[in-house]
Amino acid sequence: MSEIKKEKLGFIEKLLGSIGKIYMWFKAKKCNKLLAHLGHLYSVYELAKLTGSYEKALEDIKVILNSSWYAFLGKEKIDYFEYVPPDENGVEKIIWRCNKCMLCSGIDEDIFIKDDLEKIESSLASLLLGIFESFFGIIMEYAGRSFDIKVYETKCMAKGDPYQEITAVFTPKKSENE
Amino acid sequence: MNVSRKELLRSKVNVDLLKLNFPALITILLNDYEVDAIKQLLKDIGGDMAESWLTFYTPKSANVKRILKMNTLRTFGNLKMKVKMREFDFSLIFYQCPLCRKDIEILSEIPYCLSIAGYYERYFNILASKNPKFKFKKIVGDTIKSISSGDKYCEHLFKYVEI
Repeated sequence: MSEIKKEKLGFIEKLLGSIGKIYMWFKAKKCNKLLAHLGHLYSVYELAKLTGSYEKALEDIKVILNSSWYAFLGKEKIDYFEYVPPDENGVEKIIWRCNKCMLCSGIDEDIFIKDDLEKIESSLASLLLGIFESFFGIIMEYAGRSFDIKVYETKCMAKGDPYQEITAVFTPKKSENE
Repeated sequence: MNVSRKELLRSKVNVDLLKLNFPALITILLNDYEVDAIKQLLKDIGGDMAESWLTFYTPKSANVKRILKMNTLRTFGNLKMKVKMREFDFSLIFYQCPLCRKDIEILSEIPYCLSIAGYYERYFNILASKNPKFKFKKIVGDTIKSISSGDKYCEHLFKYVEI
């Protein structure tokens, strides 16, 4: 029997998804957001201190996280969402923006980082972006679509931008026959 | 205007965000660093978290058991845990670890929750340096059992090194 490929999610799947995310958030174990922020921030900071530039270390990441990405941030909302349809090469993008970002909250006052900001400001979201790539990979696998997925932080409040902007780029994988 | 840390202190996030953070970090570091160096780094991250956390909330009590229970409730919510106090050390046991996930592949012997030992080591050392009512002046923490390493529960042992 041939495998059924889904080009996009149907109405029922979308409906279940929007109910599911509320249920997942309700059922999820939660921790204090400040603690999660500090855990992520100091992880990136320690990496930056070790490697000089964390962006270099990012190139080496080949993390396969065996878990899915749920509704992590609860009621923290996405303020802008854009889907960019496939270009001539079939590359699709999604772009979203948040006016409030827990990742860089208060770093200019942080007791460890305030004098060392330039070391991490280009890589604050880097661990999180890797998690996003895994998450989208799982969703696309479910949908039967094969992509190389890259997620970038294209605007950052720590660098003076008015909002955080993340861009996920979905490049179709070429089949062996092509 | 971005969200302030005081607002973060009042809100919650899915604990999986933290659970995924440390495996991702360890995976990156294993390429270039020895296990002992990574362990120290995880403890340092936990310690930095504790030092920052104390700028927002400092307990007045010197009762270790009470502080551990209250701080866990404040940070991770209501978890199944136990504190064992002994003459020269104490243990913090989590039956539901806030940082370990059983479904994430174990890449080394480094416990994913080692940061908790680093967190409370620095947390209590700072508190004890300011409050003479504590039984100790300095402690050293280590994670001796971890769900991420296949144990049934996580146990963090804190030994008094200066009384």
